[in-house]
This record gives sequence, structure tokens and C-alpha cells, in this order.
Amino acid sequence: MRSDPTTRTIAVGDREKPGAMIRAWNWVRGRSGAIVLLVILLAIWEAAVRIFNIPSYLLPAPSDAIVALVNGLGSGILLTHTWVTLLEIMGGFAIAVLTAFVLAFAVTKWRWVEKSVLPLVFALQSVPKVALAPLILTWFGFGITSKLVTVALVAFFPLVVNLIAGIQSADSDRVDMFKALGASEWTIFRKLRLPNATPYIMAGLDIAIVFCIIGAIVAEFVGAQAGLGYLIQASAINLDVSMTFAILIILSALGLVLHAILTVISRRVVFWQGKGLEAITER
Amino acid sequence: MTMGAPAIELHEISKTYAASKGVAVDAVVDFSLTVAPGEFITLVGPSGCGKSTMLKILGGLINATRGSMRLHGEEHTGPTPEIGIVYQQPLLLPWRTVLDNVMVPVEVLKLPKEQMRAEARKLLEVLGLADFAKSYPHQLSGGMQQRVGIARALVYDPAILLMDEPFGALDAMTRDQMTVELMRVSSRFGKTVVFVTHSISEAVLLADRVVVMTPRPGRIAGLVEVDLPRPRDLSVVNTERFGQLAEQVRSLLHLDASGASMAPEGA
Repeated sequence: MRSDPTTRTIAVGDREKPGAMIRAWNWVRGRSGAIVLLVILLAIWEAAVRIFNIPSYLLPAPSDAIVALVNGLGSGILLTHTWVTLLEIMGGFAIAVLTAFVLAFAVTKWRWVEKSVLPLVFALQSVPKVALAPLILTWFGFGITSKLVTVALVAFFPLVVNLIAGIQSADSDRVDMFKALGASEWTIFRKLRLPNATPYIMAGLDIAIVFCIIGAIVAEFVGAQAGLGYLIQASAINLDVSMTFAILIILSALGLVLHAILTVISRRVVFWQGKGLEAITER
Repeated sequence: MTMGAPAIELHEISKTYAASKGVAVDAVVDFSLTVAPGEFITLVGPSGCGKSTMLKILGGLINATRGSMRLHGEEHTGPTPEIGIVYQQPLLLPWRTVLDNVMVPVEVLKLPKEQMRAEARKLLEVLGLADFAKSYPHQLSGGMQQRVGIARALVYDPAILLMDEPFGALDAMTRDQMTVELMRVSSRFGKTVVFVTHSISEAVLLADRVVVMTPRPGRIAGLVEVDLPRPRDLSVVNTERFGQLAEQVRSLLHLDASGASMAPEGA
């Protein structure tokens, strides 16, 4: 497994929450070192480009990238292509999540699926999915379908691996507690295994969403008519490197926002993680 | 349910596990016991004497290799809502509130929710948890969590309560408190209780009858009738009669003053 969800600590809303401003300030203060370093690096970059007179088709100054970003947003061209890429990411992500849930349930429900399908899934995990992008383009064409397939394929594996690990992590004592009440496998799945797996699921979603962005960009690289990956290639051909950097800024922001959304959801859903399970023995 | 039938009849129950290398291990041998409705039985013995195995067989979680069981005169083969179980760990679901944890059996058994929620609230009140219905397990102390576990076992009103060292993981003071509380609750609800423990004093304090088990293979060494008057409290531990009864249990376990391998503990 790629990440161990048990090592992620999540704050619980036991105490009163401070106001939004105070929280924002605390957030900035907690990262002051990183922020200072970032500003210094950008300043060095800006100065180096100006002092050594580096041509903008090789390396634009950060200020040039900002100008390109503002212009691109103003003309609407960046927004249009961002929208296309976002659709591909969300669509492919949704397909991956649905497929992963169906497979995870099948694995839990039928022993033969676990014995036959699961080893194949784990074996295929080692195939670099982005390497399949040209093939998928051939099969599904230049439209959005090939992007959805690539994104879904890339996101599917971390999701399914985490999901199955989570579902199998339910402790046997609690399973017995349900069985002693005469509960069916389906009831145990719904009331114990699935909620018990949510920390794993959230960790899987978090990994998968980053993979989705990579998948969408690679799929657009190999052949597309729109999207940020398409725009990167177009700007590279035009030697418009400032534009390339502007797109990189958007992609990073996109990744941060999607990650932040998942973190907020995760805090609400798995507030109980690592707590109360073995509280008595931890005394 | 047959009127007048014993709550539990166990007839020559044996459980043999197939251990590694084809060696069979007898966990329980010829366990026979008849328990009257409303009787409080404690099952005491050192670890490995098969008392937890016996409780799992009773709960319908594992099948006996031989023997037969009847509950209120009827054949008992698997999980049944006639039995409520309190486990060694509270086994609460950390994503559910206290009230929703107590409601787990209601949902599994598909009982009417609204009506049962009122029952669950009443139970939480009896167990001193009324103010914690909306709390989450991790906000509760170990003793309180175990009380939630007891409420969960009682909510669907089973006639029989099985308890597997329910206070074993608690500290000594909480344990005493819980023991007193259990005596209060069990007399109030009139359940038939089978309580597993490895504490001799806990066994004598709680029981109408103590079933003493010895290990390898697990079998009944003897029964001790506890004639201490009820209601009891912790002070009964200091009486002469209590000392005599505890001594009887101890001698059945072959734990005499000389070379005692298991010190009395708990209350």
C-alpha cells in the first residue's frame, strides 16, 4: 500500500474552534519558514533572469509568468481549457471510485472473486498506467472518452488497494459481535466493514486525485483538442514558455484545492480515527 | 419457550480443536450444566481452562464438537436474540454515538427503531449514561465504554446475558464500582447471567453458583453454591462466610495456601 492512513492524525472538534481569521493567521504562521523560502527563491529567480538576460523562451521571470497568467485568465483561454481538464479529472475520478467500490464489494462477497480477480489487480498495479495512454488514444479517439479512461485507470489502483485493505481491516472481535446477533454478510459490510474502512478510503481518494491530474495531462499530451495539457504543448511549440509556467501555476493550484477539499471532508468523516477503538487497553 | 423449563441446559458439551501437525486439543470436555431462569452463574478458572470457548459455544459463535444445548427447553444451535453478550472489550463502533452504538442490535435484528430508541435511552439512564447519549466512545472512560457495551447487550431484552470477563481490562477501582453496578442492574432486569472471570472474589461476590473449571482439558472441577444474602455490597467480602466460600473455590482449583499459583484478585 502506498500510504498508511493510520499515521495521519486528524484533529477532533472537542474544543471550541477559533475564528476563521485566527485560523488563517495560525496557518500562515505555521508555514512561515516555507513561505519565506519561497519568496527568497522567487526573488533569486527573478534577479537571475534579469541580471543574466536570459531569453524568455528559455526561462521567463516569475513576473512574466504572472503576467501571462493574468492575460490568459482575462482572455478566457485559460479558464476554457481548465474547465475541460477539470471535467476529465472529475469524470475519470468518479468512474474509478464507482468501479473500485463495486470490485471491493465483489471481493468481500464472493471468495472466488478474491481468489481470481484480486491477484490480477495487484499484478497489474505495477504496470505504469500512463504508458498505456497512446494505446487508449488509439482505441477511444481524440475526444474526452480517452481522457476519462486514462484518468480512471490511473486513479483506480490506489483506490481499490486502499479500499480492500480498509474493508479487510475490520477486527474479528467486532465481526463476531455482529455474527452473534445473526447479522448477514451484507449487514456486516454496511454497518462495520465500510465505515471502518473510511480512513483508508479517504487516504486512497487523496492519492487518487493527484494521480487523476497526472493522468489527464498525460492523456492530453498524447492527443487532444483542448485542455491544459494540450495548451502546454501548444505554448511549447510557440516558444511561449511564460504561458507554460502560467499553466503550471494553475495545475498546482488545482491540485492544492482538490487536496484541501478532500482534507476537509476527511476531517468530518473520520474524526474518530485512532480513537476509541482500543481505548480501554491504552489506559 | 417452554414454561418452567431451565433457562440453559448444557449436556456433555465438548470442543476439540484440530491443532497443527494433526494433534487434537481438547478445549472443553463433557461440560454439563443446568441454569435456572434468573440465576447468576459465574464461570471461574485459570486462563486456558476453556471458559471463553464455553461462552462462545453458548453464544452460538462456534459449534461444539459433541453435546447438545437447550435454551428454555428448545434446541439451541446458532446465534439467537435470546442471548445478549458483553465482551471483554466494549467493542464499540467509534464512528457512532453512544446511543447509536446501543442501537446496533436493534438495527441488525430489524426491531422497531423509534420504540427501541426510547428503550435505549432508558437503559442509558439506568446505567448512568443519560448525559452521554450523543457523545462518541473516544470521549468516554473505559468503565463508561463498558457500560455502553452492557446497554447494547440489554437493549433487545434477551433473557440470557453472557459476560466474558467484562471488567478484566478495567482498573481495580472502576472494576469494584462496575461489579456493584452489575449486581444492581442484573437484579433489576432479572436476567439469567453466565459471567466468566478469573477472579475468585469476583466470582463469589456475584454468583448464585460458582462453576469452577480446570484446564487442559477444560472441565468442571466442581460447583460452589453461594448462600450469601442479597442484595450484596462490597462489604460482604469481609465476612467469614465469604472467606469460606472463596476457600472452597480455591481448593477446587487446587490453589491451597501452599504453592498457590493464582493469587486472589479484584474486589
